[in-house]
Amino acid sequence: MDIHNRNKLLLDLKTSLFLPPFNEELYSTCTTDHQKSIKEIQEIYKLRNDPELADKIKPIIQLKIKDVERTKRVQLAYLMHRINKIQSQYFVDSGQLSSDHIDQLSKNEKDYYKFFDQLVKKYENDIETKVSQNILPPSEVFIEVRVIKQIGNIITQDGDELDLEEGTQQLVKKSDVIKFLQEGSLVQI
Amino acid sequence: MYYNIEDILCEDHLVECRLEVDLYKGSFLDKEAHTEDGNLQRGHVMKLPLWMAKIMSEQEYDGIQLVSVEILEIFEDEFQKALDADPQIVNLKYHSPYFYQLGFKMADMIANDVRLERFRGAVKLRETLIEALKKRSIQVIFKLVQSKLEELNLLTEDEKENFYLSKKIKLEYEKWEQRLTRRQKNDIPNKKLKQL
Repeated sequence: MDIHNRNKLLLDLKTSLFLPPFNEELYSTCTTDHQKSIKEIQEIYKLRNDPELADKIKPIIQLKIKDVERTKRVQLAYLMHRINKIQSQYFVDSGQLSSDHIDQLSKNEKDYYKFFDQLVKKYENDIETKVSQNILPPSEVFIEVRVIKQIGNIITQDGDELDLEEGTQQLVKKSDVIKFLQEGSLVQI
Repeated sequence: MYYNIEDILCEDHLVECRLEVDLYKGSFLDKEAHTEDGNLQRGHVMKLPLWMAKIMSEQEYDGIQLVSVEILEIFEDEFQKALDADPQIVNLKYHSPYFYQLGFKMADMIANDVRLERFRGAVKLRETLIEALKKRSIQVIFKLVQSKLEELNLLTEDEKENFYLSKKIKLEYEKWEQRLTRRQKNDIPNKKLKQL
């Protein structure tokens, strides 16, 4: 019963605002633990034909099965948390994940993200509505952003000039800078 | 709740249990039990995660409960009295970051009409936890929103959630009060914002 590794796998998720890199090592340790427990159950189950032990093995088999189910629950919770985060961040970033976020995903999660993106875009084409953009109604006219990478001068939709100098904090309209937010050049505060 | 990470971590809290029956090949439950045949004997005391203790307390073998579970010290009478007296000075996070959830789960394991030595009953425990959360939320979080963030480490997970919500509401109220989000033009030059 390896509680320590299971806890570590879940606590790992709390180390990042978005997601930490997929912890292959710990995840496969839990899988190995899971498979080892199943083999032990099979070994104990073979003793069911012994009349002395037939009754004695029942509680331990039930407990070991509960332990296996617990490991499964931990692994599923880990995967579900990551998938839900990917989906919610996709809509927060208006239909795209930034390259920084994509770097934190495992290969399977990257495939999942591509599949999810295709599914959403197909749905948008079918209903002729952009559901991935601005799904959260804006509570503010302007948003405060910090410029992470030098962008320079841009022209806004109103025709004004905006100087996005590295290191500055500015009040801007989200529609003017959405592309830079998705790229990661700007960060919303 | 199945996929809820906080719920899973809360249930991994260790509780002391006493084995009431002989358990064949039971040594996988207790790594510190060095037995030759892998069996555990009746009377063996071990620490089990709460989820396993709950399952074993509900299961029977030959009509006998597999384990009897000790109430955690933090939910016994003495500690609860300190919580009743002044919940703000008690460091709950030191005992468990999921103190309140743990308390409710322990209370659910005990029938309402059961009275044990040094334990004031499940109903009273629930009432104490609710009152403690109310008092701590109002006083401790109010202080934190005004001042030091290092004191955040003293809060349990539920209290931290309340704190972040309070902080968010406070910031949104301040923005609304200053009408910062409704300005049509950027009145403050960019360099001044940087200084701010």
